Amino acid sequence: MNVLNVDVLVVGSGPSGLAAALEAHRNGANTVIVDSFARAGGQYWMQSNHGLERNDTQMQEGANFITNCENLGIKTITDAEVWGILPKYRVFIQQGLGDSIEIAARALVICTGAHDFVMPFAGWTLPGVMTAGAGQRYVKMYGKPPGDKIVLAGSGAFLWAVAATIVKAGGNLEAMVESNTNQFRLFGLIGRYPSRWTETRRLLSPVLRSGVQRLNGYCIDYAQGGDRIEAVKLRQVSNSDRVAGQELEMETDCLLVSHGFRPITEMTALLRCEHQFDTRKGGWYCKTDPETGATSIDNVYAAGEVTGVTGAQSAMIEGALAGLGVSEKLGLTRNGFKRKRARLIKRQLRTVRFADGLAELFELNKNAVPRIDDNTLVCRCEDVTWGDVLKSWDDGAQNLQAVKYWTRLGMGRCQGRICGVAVSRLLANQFGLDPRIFGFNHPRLPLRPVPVNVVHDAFAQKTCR
Amino acid sequence: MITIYIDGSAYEVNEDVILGHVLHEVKSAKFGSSCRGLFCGMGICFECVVKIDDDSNRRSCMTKVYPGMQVKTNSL
Ligand code: FES
Repeated sequence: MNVLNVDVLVVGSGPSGLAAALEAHRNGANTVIVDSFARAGGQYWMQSNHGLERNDTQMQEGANFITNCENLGIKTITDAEVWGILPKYRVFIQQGLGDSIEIAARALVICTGAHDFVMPFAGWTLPGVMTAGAGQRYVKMYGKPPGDKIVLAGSGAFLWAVAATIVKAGGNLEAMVESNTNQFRLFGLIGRYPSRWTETRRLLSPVLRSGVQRLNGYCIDYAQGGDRIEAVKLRQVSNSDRVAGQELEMETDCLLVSHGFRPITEMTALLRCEHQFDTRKGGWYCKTDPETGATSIDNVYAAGEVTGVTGAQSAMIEGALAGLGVSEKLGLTRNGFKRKRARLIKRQLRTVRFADGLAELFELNKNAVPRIDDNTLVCRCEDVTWGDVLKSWDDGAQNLQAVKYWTRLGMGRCQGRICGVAVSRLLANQFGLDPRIFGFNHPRLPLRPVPVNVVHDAFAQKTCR
Repeated sequence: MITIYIDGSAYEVNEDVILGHVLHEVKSAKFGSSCRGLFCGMGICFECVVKIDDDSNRRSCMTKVYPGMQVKTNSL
């Protein structure tokens, strides 16, 4: 197997990864980025093939950053999935269906980002129901909307971004359903941060201009359909357990849902970095030193949403700080790096304050989660129902790991990435407990399904050397 | 435009698009063993796996189309 030797390996090429790589490179570190997608940019700076970037400021901004990195000679290995990491630090990637490549890095910067999570509901496995992020990627990469009558539901500022993408592409968005009723406080918050006005206008004005129906204070109850989704039932969020809110049915062929983001912690967890829990930051996230991006493990740095969901602006600053931090650790700093760090830290304070304000406004209220019953599937891969989970709880399985052994929840192909957050929140709501006590699923090698001969070949090398 | 084959039928698609997006649009296609569709659309959930040429368990949302590609849904 070929071994590529580098100073710094950055995993993920979203805003944080690119910023980290740029900073490390500027300080003289031999830096390489790997990314699982076909093009650099991550979700936020996703690059389409349709020339869409011409009227998409965000895509254009990403394209400029990516080109800048390329011109400086920073290499991004795309289509590359990290499936294994061994100590100090041998990282195994598979590119497409090819053989494994080993990258030997003196230090790592983990910038794996986050994905949207969805609280389960009856009918959420019907084709046509997808995450809001999937819907946005569909429009950006396929150039057309994912349905003729789209309903976008859940909670979070991200719904505005997805709505904007859909209406700008000429899609028919039937309704945007936000479970919180925080409009006034939201505009109040934005009003206090003039640096956010341009961005806000970019997201809000196409949606407002399109006249899309906006329902605030409604959440999903369930979805119905035969081979695909045909309708969604919504209900008004009631703040009392006894009074039922108004119900509403809407025809749809595509339901896009997002209840928040989950940091993608498989790599940091595999490396045994210390993790912390905060529902407002997406649940479990990798703990880092806010000034250097250092994790609790030597020579492992992290930045962006994997260190707690605070949005792309803050991810970029965290990336730059981690790039400086890792360079300093490797003894590769240029003059003036301390001043630069101080400047970044100052900017970050304000950015994070804004993100915290947003997170507080969009906190997922326990009355705003879809209704579930014993027959609702909660683990999509292994077909485990909510009734199965409750039964295992009665049998004594009182954390995610135990529930997994009892029911196979989280043992399937998604490895608990989809069901884990949801089930700890559901159990916490059900029993009035803190979701952190349920822990999280520990990742195992290989992190992604790879053919067994690829794993064998990679490890066989180890014994020869 | 290029031609790909989904469960034996030919489809004309733009080059450079992602297979999962084509499958979502071709409404008859189903993923996996039970009737499922594209869900996360970004390689996280593995619900969109299909057989492509001789390889099963490929995530269609992470795979670009290429001429003559043979896709089999319901391959589990
Ligand atoms: S849709 Fe989730 S992995 Fe493809």
